[in-house]
Amino acid sequence: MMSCEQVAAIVRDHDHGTLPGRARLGVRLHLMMCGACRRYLRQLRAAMRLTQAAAQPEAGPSTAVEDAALAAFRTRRDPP
Amino acid sequence: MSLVGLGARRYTAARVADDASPDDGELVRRLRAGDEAAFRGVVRRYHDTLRQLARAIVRSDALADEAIQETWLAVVRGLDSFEGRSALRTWVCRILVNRARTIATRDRRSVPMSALDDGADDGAIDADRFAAGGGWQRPPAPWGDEDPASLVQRRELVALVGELVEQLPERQRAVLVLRDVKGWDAEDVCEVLELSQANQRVLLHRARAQVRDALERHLTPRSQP
Repeated sequence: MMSCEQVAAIVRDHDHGTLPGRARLGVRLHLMMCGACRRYLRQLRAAMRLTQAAAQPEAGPSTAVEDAALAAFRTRRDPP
Repeated sequence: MSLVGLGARRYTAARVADDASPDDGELVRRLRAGDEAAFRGVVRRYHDTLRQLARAIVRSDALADEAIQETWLAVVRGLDSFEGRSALRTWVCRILVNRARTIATRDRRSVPMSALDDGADDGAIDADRFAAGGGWQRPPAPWGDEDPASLVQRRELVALVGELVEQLPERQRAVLVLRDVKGWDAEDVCEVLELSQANQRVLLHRARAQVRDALERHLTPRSQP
């Protein structure tokens, strides 16, 4: 059976995308048997969710930023 | 599957569409043709991503806005030379990162240690979490409540995580923001931040693990020595 450390490494390395079939089976089996790894993944997932919640999206650019950008854009269209 | 769970839904999916453009080719044509509405749309749609990315690099909102303004000037000047080899979003964000880094260097005479010591080049990841046999050195302690949907309702936890993210070294914070807040793919993150895939993974993991560790300290105080 995979060790906890191996499971953590596989999950990390395939953090985006699908695990190759055999690795997925190994990870699944391990997680069925190992409460500590299940807990660790659950807690990492919670951490990610809180990270999202903590990053409050801004309403939008300030008028100053938007005006400066648009002014630059207009000089491109109508060179002075 | 991903870290986000074997078959479980991905929490990162929620905001993927924030800054994504459906059709870059058409958009770039409109921008080159001087379509002001299209440009305004891009400035607004990318703003939050640019702001969060800039804040990973510079230390105030004012400096972040300065970097964003410079970025739009550079975008306007460079539109005709944009070759479309990368996505528009990636191109704009790369400009932003360069501008922000220049501003940050000007802002502080020397680079703080935190910017260098982000662990990206450190081969051993989590080595101290595991014992020699590959089992847990110190198994993760229960938090009482581990349900993301209910944890996210607790303002003190959201604030705690927000403060921690602000303290992260530049590249860890930038990777975390793009991947977990903005839902970007690893490839795009590597391109914008000029990272190898391996470094990107290490930085992301370090950042996530630090958030988890901070929550652990808060939620299981007795586990601390």
